[in-house]
Amino acid sequence: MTTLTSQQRQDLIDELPRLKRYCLSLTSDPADADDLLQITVERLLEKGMPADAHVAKWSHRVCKNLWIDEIRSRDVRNRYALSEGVIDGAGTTSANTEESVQLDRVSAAMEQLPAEQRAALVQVAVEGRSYAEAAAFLEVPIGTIMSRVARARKALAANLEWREEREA
Amino acid sequence: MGVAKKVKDMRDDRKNVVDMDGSRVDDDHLLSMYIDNELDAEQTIAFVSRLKSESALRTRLTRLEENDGLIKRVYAQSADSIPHQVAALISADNVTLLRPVRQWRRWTTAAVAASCAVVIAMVLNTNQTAVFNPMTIDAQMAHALESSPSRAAGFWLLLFRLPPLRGKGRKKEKTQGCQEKQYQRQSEQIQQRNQLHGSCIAAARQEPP
Repeated sequence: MTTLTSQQRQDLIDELPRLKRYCLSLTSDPADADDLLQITVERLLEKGMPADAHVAKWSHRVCKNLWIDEIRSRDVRNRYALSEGVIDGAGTTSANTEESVQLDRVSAAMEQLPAEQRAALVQVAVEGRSYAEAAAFLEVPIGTIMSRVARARKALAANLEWREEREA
Repeated sequence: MGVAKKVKDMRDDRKNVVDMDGSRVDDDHLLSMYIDNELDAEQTIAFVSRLKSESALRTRLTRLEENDGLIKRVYAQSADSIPHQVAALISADNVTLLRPVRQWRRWTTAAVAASCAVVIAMVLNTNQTAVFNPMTIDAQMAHALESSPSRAAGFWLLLFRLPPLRGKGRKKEKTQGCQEKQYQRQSEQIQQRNQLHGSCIAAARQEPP
Protein backbone atom coordinates (compact mmCIF):
# COMPACT_ATOMS: atom_id res chain seq x y z
CA MET A 1 0.00 0.00 0.00
CA THR A 2 2.95 2.29 -0.43
CA THR A 3 2.39 3.47 -3.98
CA LEU A 4 -0.60 4.27 -6.11
CA THR A 5 -1.28 2.21 -9.20
CA SER A 6 -1.43 4.01 -12.52
CA GLN A 7 -5.22 3.58 -12.54
CA GLN A 8 -5.48 5.07 -9.06
CA ARG A 9 -3.32 8.00 -10.15
CA GLN A 10 -5.57 8.64 -13.13
CA ASP A 11 -8.70 8.38 -10.96
CA LEU A 12 -7.15 10.81 -8.51
CA ILE A 13 -6.39 13.32 -11.28
CA ASP A 14 -10.00 13.01 -12.48
CA GLU A 15 -11.19 13.53 -8.93
CA LEU A 16 -9.14 16.70 -8.36
CA PRO A 17 -11.87 19.26 -9.27
CA ARG A 18 -14.37 17.63 -6.90
CA LEU A 19 -11.66 17.24 -4.26
CA LYS A 20 -10.77 20.91 -4.62
CA ARG A 21 -14.41 21.96 -4.18
CA TYR A 22 -14.61 19.70 -1.14
CA CYS A 23 -11.47 21.38 0.26
CA LEU A 24 -13.10 24.78 -0.24
CA SER A 25 -16.31 23.62 1.39
CA LEU A 26 -14.29 22.50 4.43
CA THR A 27 -11.99 25.49 4.72
CA SER A 28 -14.06 28.28 3.11
CA ASP A 29 -10.76 29.94 2.26
CA PRO A 30 -9.18 29.62 -1.22
CA ALA A 31 -5.59 29.61 0.06
CA ASP A 32 -6.39 27.03 2.73
CA ALA A 33 -8.23 24.96 0.13
CA ASP A 34 -5.13 24.93 -2.10
CA ASP A 35 -2.97 23.90 0.85
CA LEU A 36 -5.40 21.20 1.94
CA LEU A 37 -5.61 19.81 -1.60
CA GLN A 38 -1.86 19.55 -1.95
CA ILE A 39 -1.33 18.12 1.51
CA THR A 40 -4.03 15.53 0.78
CA VAL A 41 -2.37 14.53 -2.48
CA GLU A 42 1.02 14.34 -0.80
CA ARG A 43 -0.41 12.14 1.93
CA LEU A 44 -2.04 9.83 -0.63
CA LEU A 45 1.21 9.55 -2.58
CA GLU A 46 3.17 8.95 0.58
CA LYS A 47 0.84 6.41 2.23
CA GLY A 48 -0.88 4.99 -0.84
CA MET A 49 -4.26 3.29 -0.66
CA PRO A 50 -5.57 -0.28 -0.86
CA ALA A 51 -5.85 -1.70 -4.36
CA ASP A 52 -9.61 -2.10 -4.04
CA ALA A 53 -10.23 1.31 -2.46
CA HIS A 54 -12.68 3.72 -4.04
CA VAL A 55 -10.37 6.59 -4.94
CA ALA A 56 -12.96 9.36 -4.53
CA LYS A 57 -14.20 8.19 -1.15
CA TRP A 58 -10.70 7.37 0.11
CA SER A 59 -9.25 10.72 -0.95
CA HIS A 60 -12.17 12.67 0.52
CA ARG A 61 -11.84 10.81 3.80
CA VAL A 62 -8.10 11.51 3.96
CA CYS A 63 -8.82 15.15 3.14
CA LYS A 64 -11.42 15.44 5.90
CA ASN A 65 -9.14 13.82 8.48
CA LEU A 66 -6.27 16.15 7.56
CA TRP A 67 -8.56 19.14 7.93
CA ILE A 68 -9.78 17.91 11.31
CA ASP A 69 -6.14 17.59 12.44
CA GLU A 70 -5.46 21.11 11.20
CA ILE A 71 -8.56 22.51 12.92
CA ARG A 72 -7.46 20.93 16.19
CA SER A 73 -3.96 22.31 15.93
CA ARG A 74 -5.33 25.75 14.99
CA ASP A 75 -7.57 25.60 18.02
CA VAL A 76 -4.51 25.05 20.18
CA ARG A 77 -2.63 27.85 18.38
CA ASN A 78 -5.62 30.20 18.73
CA ARG A 79 -5.60 29.76 22.47
CA TYR A 80 -2.04 31.01 22.62
CA ALA A 81 -2.15 33.47 19.72
CA LEU A 82 -0.98 36.97 20.53
CA SER A 83 -3.02 38.67 17.86
CA GLU A 84 -5.49 37.75 15.13
CA GLY A 85 -4.97 40.85 13.04
CA VAL A 86 -2.01 39.40 11.15
CA ILE A 87 -4.06 36.90 9.15
CA ASP A 88 -7.07 39.02 8.35
CA GLY A 89 -8.09 39.88 4.82
CA ALA A 90 -7.83 36.49 3.11
CA GLY A 91 -10.38 35.48 0.50
CA THR A 92 -11.37 38.92 -0.72
CA THR A 93 -11.02 40.33 -4.18
CA SER A 94 -10.53 43.90 -5.24
CA ALA A 95 -12.70 43.77 -8.33
CA ASN A 96 -15.76 45.93 -7.99
CA THR A 97 -17.99 44.80 -10.79
CA GLU A 98 -21.53 43.89 -9.88
CA GLU A 99 -20.94 40.22 -10.62
CA SER A 100 -17.78 39.90 -8.59
CA VAL A 101 -19.37 41.85 -5.74
CA GLN A 102 -22.22 39.37 -5.77
CA LEU A 103 -19.85 36.39 -5.80
CA ASP A 104 -17.82 37.96 -3.01
CA ARG A 105 -21.00 38.27 -0.98
CA VAL A 106 -21.78 34.61 -1.54
CA SER A 107 -18.23 33.58 -0.60
CA ALA A 108 -18.42 35.62 2.57
CA ALA A 109 -21.85 34.23 3.42
CA MET A 110 -20.66 30.68 2.79
CA GLU A 111 -17.73 31.33 5.08
CA GLN A 112 -20.15 32.24 7.85
CA LEU A 113 -21.93 28.90 7.66
CA PRO A 114 -20.98 26.11 10.06
CA ALA A 115 -18.54 23.77 8.32
CA GLU A 116 -20.86 20.76 8.41
CA GLN A 117 -23.71 22.72 6.82
CA ARG A 118 -21.39 24.13 4.16
CA ALA A 119 -20.06 20.68 3.31
CA ALA A 120 -23.57 19.22 3.02
CA LEU A 121 -24.78 22.12 0.85
CA VAL A 122 -21.79 21.83 -1.49
CA GLN A 123 -22.25 18.07 -1.90
CA VAL A 124 -25.91 18.50 -2.80
CA ALA A 125 -26.15 21.90 -4.54
CA VAL A 126 -22.76 21.98 -6.27
CA GLU A 127 -21.83 18.33 -6.77
CA GLY A 128 -25.42 17.35 -7.53
CA ARG A 129 -25.46 14.40 -5.15
CA SER A 130 -28.72 13.07 -3.78
CA TYR A 131 -29.29 13.22 -0.03
CA ALA A 132 -28.56 9.49 0.17
CA GLU A 133 -25.31 9.82 -1.78
CA ALA A 134 -24.21 12.85 0.24
CA ALA A 135 -25.06 11.03 3.46
CA ALA A 136 -22.93 8.05 2.43
CA PHE A 137 -20.14 10.34 1.32
CA LEU A 138 -20.08 12.45 4.47
CA GLU A 139 -20.88 9.44 6.66
CA VAL A 140 -23.91 10.95 8.37
CA PRO A 141 -27.62 9.95 8.36
CA ILE A 142 -29.82 11.09 5.46
CA GLY A 143 -32.03 13.12 7.78
CA THR A 144 -28.96 15.02 8.96
CA ILE A 145 -28.08 15.92 5.37
CA MET A 146 -31.62 17.10 4.70
CA SER A 147 -31.62 19.23 7.81
CA ARG A 148 -28.13 20.66 7.21
CA VAL A 149 -28.83 21.54 3.58
CA ALA A 150 -32.09 23.29 4.43
CA ARG A 151 -30.60 25.21 7.34
CA ALA A 152 -27.59 26.16 5.23
CA ARG A 153 -29.82 27.56 2.47
CA LYS A 154 -31.91 29.46 4.98
CA ALA A 155 -28.90 30.93 6.80
CA LEU A 156 -27.20 31.79 3.52
CA ALA A 157 -30.28 33.59 2.21
CA ALA A 158 -30.62 35.56 5.45
CA ASN A 159 -26.93 36.47 5.39
CA LEU A 160 -27.06 37.60 1.76
CA GLU A 161 -30.16 39.73 2.39
CA TRP A 162 -28.44 41.34 5.36
CA ARG A 163 -25.34 42.09 3.28
CA GLU A 164 -27.36 43.55 0.42
CA GLU A 165 -29.30 45.82 2.79
CA ARG A 166 -26.13 46.92 4.52
CA GLU A 167 -24.36 47.73 1.25
CA ALA A 168 -27.40 49.39 -0.35
CA MET B 1 -35.73 4.41 3.84
CA GLY B 2 -37.00 7.54 2.10
CA VAL B 3 -36.24 11.07 3.16
CA ALA B 4 -39.90 11.67 3.97
CA LYS B 5 -39.76 8.83 6.48
CA LYS B 6 -36.59 10.30 7.93
CA VAL B 7 -38.29 13.67 8.22
CA LYS B 8 -41.20 12.05 9.94
CA ASP B 9 -38.86 10.42 12.43
CA MET B 10 -37.23 13.65 13.49
CA ARG B 11 -38.50 14.85 16.82
CA ASP B 12 -37.01 17.88 18.49
CA ASP B 13 -37.76 21.53 19.17
CA ARG B 14 -35.20 23.13 16.90
CA LYS B 15 -36.67 25.94 14.88
CA ASN B 16 -35.62 24.67 11.48
CA VAL B 17 -36.58 21.03 11.80
CA VAL B 18 -39.66 20.06 9.86
CA ASP B 19 -42.51 18.12 11.34
CA MET B 20 -44.35 16.30 8.58
CA ASP B 21 -46.93 14.69 10.88
CA GLY B 22 -49.22 17.64 11.39
CA SER B 23 -49.76 21.05 9.88
CA ARG B 24 -46.55 22.55 11.19
CA VAL B 25 -44.15 22.44 8.23
CA ASP B 26 -41.04 24.54 7.68
CA ASP B 27 -41.39 25.96 4.18
CA ASP B 28 -37.64 26.39 3.77
CA HIS B 29 -37.16 22.66 4.35
CA LEU B 30 -39.83 21.83 1.85
CA LEU B 31 -38.37 24.30 -0.65
CA SER B 32 -34.94 22.82 -0.12
CA MET B 33 -36.19 19.30 -0.67
CA TYR B 34 -38.17 20.45 -3.72
CA ILE B 35 -35.06 22.08 -5.23
CA ASP B 36 -33.07 18.90 -4.59
CA ASN B 37 -35.84 16.69 -6.00
CA GLU B 38 -36.11 14.84 -2.71
CA LEU B 39 -39.87 15.09 -2.17
CA ASP B 40 -41.86 12.01 -3.09
CA ALA B 41 -44.53 12.21 -5.83
CA GLU B 42 -47.41 12.95 -3.48
CA GLN B 43 -45.51 15.70 -1.66
CA THR B 44 -44.35 17.19 -4.93
CA ILE B 45 -47.87 17.49 -6.30
CA ALA B 46 -49.08 19.10 -3.08
CA PHE B 47 -46.17 21.50 -3.02
CA VAL B 48 -46.52 22.52 -6.67
CA SER B 49 -50.16 23.41 -6.06
CA ARG B 50 -49.05 25.58 -3.16
CA LEU B 51 -46.46 27.26 -5.34
CA LYS B 52 -49.15 28.16 -7.88
CA SER B 53 -51.27 29.88 -5.29
CA GLU B 54 -48.64 31.43 -2.98
CA SER B 55 -46.55 34.18 -4.55
CA ALA B 56 -44.39 34.58 -1.43
CA LEU B 57 -43.43 30.92 -1.65
CA ARG B 58 -42.59 31.34 -5.36
CA THR B 59 -40.44 34.38 -4.60
CA ARG B 60 -38.63 32.46 -1.90
CA LEU B 61 -38.05 29.54 -4.26
CA THR B 62 -36.63 31.86 -6.91
CA ARG B 63 -34.32 33.42 -4.35
CA LEU B 64 -33.03 30.08 -3.08
CA GLU B 65 -32.45 28.82 -6.63
CA GLU B 66 -30.57 32.01 -7.53
CA ASN B 67 -28.40 31.54 -4.45
CA ASP B 68 -27.67 27.95 -5.51
CA GLY B 69 -26.59 29.25 -8.91
CA LEU B 70 -24.21 31.73 -7.29
CA ILE B 71 -22.75 29.03 -5.03
CA LYS B 72 -22.11 26.85 -8.09
CA ARG B 73 -20.27 29.70 -9.80
CA VAL B 74 -18.13 30.39 -6.74
CA TYR B 75 -17.14 26.74 -6.50
CA ALA B 76 -16.69 26.38 -10.26
CA GLN B 77 -14.09 29.18 -10.07
CA SER B 78 -12.37 27.26 -7.30
CA ALA B 79 -12.19 24.03 -9.30
CA ASP B 80 -10.73 25.91 -12.28
CA SER B 81 -7.77 27.01 -10.22
CA ILE B 82 -6.21 23.69 -9.26
CA PRO B 83 -2.50 24.23 -8.71
CA HIS B 84 -0.75 22.70 -11.73
CA GLN B 85 1.95 21.16 -9.55
CA VAL B 86 -0.64 18.96 -7.83
CA ALA B 87 -1.60 17.12 -11.03
CA ALA B 88 2.06 17.00 -12.03
CA LEU B 89 2.90 15.47 -8.67
CA ILE B 90 0.35 12.69 -9.18
CA SER B 91 1.43 12.03 -12.78
CA ALA B 92 5.11 11.80 -11.97
CA ASP B 93 6.41 8.24 -11.68
CA ASN B 94 8.79 7.05 -9.00
CA VAL B 95 8.36 10.14 -6.89
CA THR B 96 9.54 9.75 -3.32
CA LEU B 97 8.43 12.40 -0.89
CA LEU B 98 11.22 12.88 1.60
CA ARG B 99 9.06 15.19 3.69
CA PRO B 100 5.78 17.01 3.21
CA VAL B 101 6.47 19.76 0.68
CA ARG B 102 3.45 21.83 1.47
CA GLN B 103 2.80 23.48 4.80
CA TRP B 104 -0.13 25.59 5.85
CA ARG B 105 0.80 28.88 4.21
CA ARG B 106 -1.64 30.99 6.12
CA TRP B 107 -0.27 30.08 9.52
CA THR B 108 3.31 29.89 8.39
CA THR B 109 2.95 33.37 6.98
CA ALA B 110 1.38 34.58 10.17
CA ALA B 111 4.16 33.05 12.26
CA VAL B 112 6.85 34.57 10.02
CA ALA B 113 5.09 37.94 10.06
CA ALA B 114 4.86 37.86 13.85
CA SER B 115 8.56 36.98 14.15
CA CYS B 116 9.50 39.79 11.74
CA ALA B 117 7.34 42.24 13.69
CA VAL B 118 9.12 41.32 16.92
CA VAL B 119 12.56 41.68 15.31
CA ILE B 120 11.66 45.03 13.71
CA ALA B 121 10.25 46.29 17.00
CA MET B 122 13.46 45.26 18.78
CA VAL B 123 15.65 46.93 16.16
CA LEU B 124 13.61 50.13 16.18
CA ASN B 125 13.65 50.19 19.95
CA THR B 126 17.41 49.65 20.03
CA ASN B 127 17.98 52.37 17.46
CA GLN B 128 15.81 54.82 19.32
CA THR B 129 17.59 54.28 22.60
CA ALA B 130 20.95 54.35 20.85
CA VAL B 131 20.37 57.84 19.46
CA PHE B 132 22.70 60.25 21.24
CA ASN B 133 20.43 62.82 22.78
CA PRO B 134 22.27 64.75 25.49
CA MET B 135 19.04 65.93 27.10
CA THR B 136 17.96 62.38 27.79
CA ILE B 137 21.16 61.32 29.53
CA ASP B 138 21.02 63.20 32.77
CA ALA B 139 21.16 66.69 34.16
CA GLN B 140 24.85 66.41 34.79
CA MET B 141 25.67 65.66 31.19
CA ALA B 142 23.22 68.28 29.88
CA HIS B 143 24.69 70.95 32.08
CA ALA B 144 28.23 70.05 31.13
CA LEU B 145 27.42 70.15 27.44
CA GLU B 146 25.67 73.49 27.69
CA SER B 147 28.49 75.08 29.60
CA SER B 148 31.48 73.49 27.84
CA PRO B 149 32.87 73.91 24.34
CA SER B 150 32.52 70.86 22.14
CA ARG B 151 35.16 68.22 22.91
CA ALA B 152 36.89 70.68 25.17
CA ALA B 153 39.76 69.59 27.33
CA GLY B 154 38.43 68.18 30.57
CA PHE B 155 35.11 67.06 29.05
CA TRP B 156 35.96 63.41 29.47
CA LEU B 157 37.11 64.05 33.01
CA LEU B 158 33.66 65.44 33.70
CA LEU B 159 32.05 62.38 32.24
CA PHE B 160 34.00 59.93 34.35
CA ARG B 161 34.66 61.76 37.59
CA LEU B 162 31.35 63.31 38.58
CA PRO B 163 29.08 61.08 40.69
CA PRO B 164 25.59 60.27 39.36
CA LEU B 165 22.54 62.03 40.74
CA ARG B 166 20.96 60.20 43.66
CA GLY B 167 18.10 60.78 46.08
CA LYS B 168 14.30 60.53 46.23
CA GLY B 169 11.47 63.06 46.67
CA ARG B 170 12.32 66.23 48.56
CA LYS B 171 15.67 64.82 49.55
CA LYS B 172 16.35 64.26 45.88
CA GLU B 173 15.56 67.90 45.09
CA LYS B 174 17.93 69.07 47.81
CA THR B 175 20.60 66.67 46.63
CA GLN B 176 20.10 67.78 43.08
CA GLY B 177 20.39 71.47 44.16
CA CYS B 178 23.69 70.79 45.88
CA GLN B 179 24.97 68.78 42.98
CA GLU B 180 23.99 71.47 40.51
CA LYS B 181 26.05 73.99 42.44
CA GLN B 182 28.90 71.51 42.49
CA TYR B 183 28.54 70.99 38.73
CA GLN B 184 28.45 74.73 38.19
CA ARG B 185 31.68 75.17 40.13
CA GLN B 186 33.31 72.33 38.26
CA SER B 187 32.19 73.68 34.88
CA GLU B 188 33.63 77.08 35.80
CA GLN B 189 36.88 75.34 36.65
CA ILE B 190 36.73 73.51 33.34
CA GLN B 191 36.15 76.73 31.47
CA GLN B 192 39.14 78.28 33.23
CA ARG B 193 41.17 75.18 32.37
CA ASN B 194 40.05 75.41 28.76
CA GLN B 195 40.98 79.03 28.57
CA LEU B 196 44.36 78.20 30.06
CA HIS B 197 44.71 75.29 27.64
CA GLY B 198 43.72 77.52 24.73
CA SER B 199 46.17 80.21 25.73
CA CYS B 200 48.94 77.59 26.07
CA ILE B 201 48.21 76.35 22.56
CA ALA B 202 48.17 79.90 21.23
CA ALA B 203 51.46 80.62 22.97
CA ALA B 204 52.98 77.44 21.56
CA ARG B 205 51.90 78.42 18.07
CA GLN B 206 53.43 81.86 18.44
CA GLU B 207 56.77 80.44 19.60
CA PRO B 208 59.33 80.09 16.85
CA PRO B 209 60.32 76.50 16.02
